[in-house]
Amino acid sequence: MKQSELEQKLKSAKFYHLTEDELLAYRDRELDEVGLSRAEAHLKLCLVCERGLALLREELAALENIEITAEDVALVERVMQEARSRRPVDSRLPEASGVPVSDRLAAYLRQLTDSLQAYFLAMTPVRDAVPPGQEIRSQPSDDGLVSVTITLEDTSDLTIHLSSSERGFAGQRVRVSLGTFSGEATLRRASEFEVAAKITVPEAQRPATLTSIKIETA
Amino acid sequence: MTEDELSLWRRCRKGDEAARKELVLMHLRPVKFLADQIHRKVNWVDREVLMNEGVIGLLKAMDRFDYNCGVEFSTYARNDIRGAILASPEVSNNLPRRPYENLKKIRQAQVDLAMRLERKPTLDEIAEKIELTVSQVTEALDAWHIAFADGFPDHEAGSDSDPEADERSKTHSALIEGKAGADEPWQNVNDAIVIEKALSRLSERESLIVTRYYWEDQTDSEIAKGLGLTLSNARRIRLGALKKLHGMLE
Repeated sequence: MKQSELEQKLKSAKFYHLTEDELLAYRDRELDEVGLSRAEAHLKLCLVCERGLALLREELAALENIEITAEDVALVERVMQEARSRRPVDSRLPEASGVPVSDRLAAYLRQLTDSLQAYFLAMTPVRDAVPPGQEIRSQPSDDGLVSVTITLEDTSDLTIHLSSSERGFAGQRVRVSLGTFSGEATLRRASEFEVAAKITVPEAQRPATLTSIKIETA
Repeated sequence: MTEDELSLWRRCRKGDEAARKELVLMHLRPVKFLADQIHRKVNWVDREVLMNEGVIGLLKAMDRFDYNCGVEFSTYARNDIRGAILASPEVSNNLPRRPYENLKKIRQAQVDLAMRLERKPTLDEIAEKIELTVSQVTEALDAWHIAFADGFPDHEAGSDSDPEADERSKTHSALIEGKAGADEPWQNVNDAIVIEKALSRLSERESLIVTRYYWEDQTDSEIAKGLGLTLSNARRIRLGALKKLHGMLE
């Protein structure tokens, strides 16, 4: 990246709209110094985000005056009763209910690791399998909730891109081990509907085969 | 999180339905607030339907929440509650289009006016430009934040894809489109997070100088004066910080 490109990236950062989480953190004075600086720079420019912040402030004040009535309690009891009767009774992966997020993610990563290792055991060495710049393998979990895509970049580095439509996995750390390489990344929200993390294995540390690949929670 | 709430979460995870109900009631106020807020936009839908969906969203969020992750549950659950209410067919099939169409006009007006006035336009100025009342502008903005608070779902082609567009046009388009100067969707969405993270790894003085220069539009001279540095020193620190950032972001 050229210095001018870096400077353009820095300048551009203040134009990105603030997410609701950032606006909430700004309202609650929970942003760190850098986040606060970007938020203030953006709010000086953007009426849309300024209005969003005003709404969040109004909400905070309104919540204090909301009362929980007997009707609310009855509604909650009814919905909970219905939800209990609809819960799944059998699943290969841990049910969401009662299982910590990290354990659910760990179960998905074990499943993906098993599938990838089985696939690469039956495959010729990566170096000969695909030309640089192409995807080597895209592996979804059985239910499609989590997937991993492995790409051999033009630079001959290997990138491992993990994504999921389960937004509850945001903030979880994942670790990829491959031969002598070990790298970690945090699953972050990539869009309104997806969390993702990317780990790059430099060419120098990339083994000839990927059979030893292991993806786990860190 | 208080010790009492933590204890409820622990009991809830062990299958204690009473603790689960107590947690639901503890976090019901935002559900009522969001249901009422959305009900004002779709007032022909029975409010109880919205509450019902909101509680289902709350329960889903509770199932997935990791109480050890250090995030407040109220923050964590917002999107699940809102998503559940908006996903109910009674709402999604009947959402009015007008506020959304108005929002597109507002966004464009914000770009045009910001370029012309060289500052953030006011509600009155935007309303006048697109020939709406201030309350119609506010209504469109509010509808937007209620329904899509976490992102802009439409990805129209912006002027930032035009190689002939000048720098100012690019950045003001980015203000509206939320996609300044990025090469691919992955980098695009995460740019702000990546840059903030990299800046946080600089020294306090370095990140202060960088943010003042690039986000607050101060000159090296103004920064030097504000921090009691010589001009050459302020510039030297900024360029040194850029070099470090370059290493981190590469």
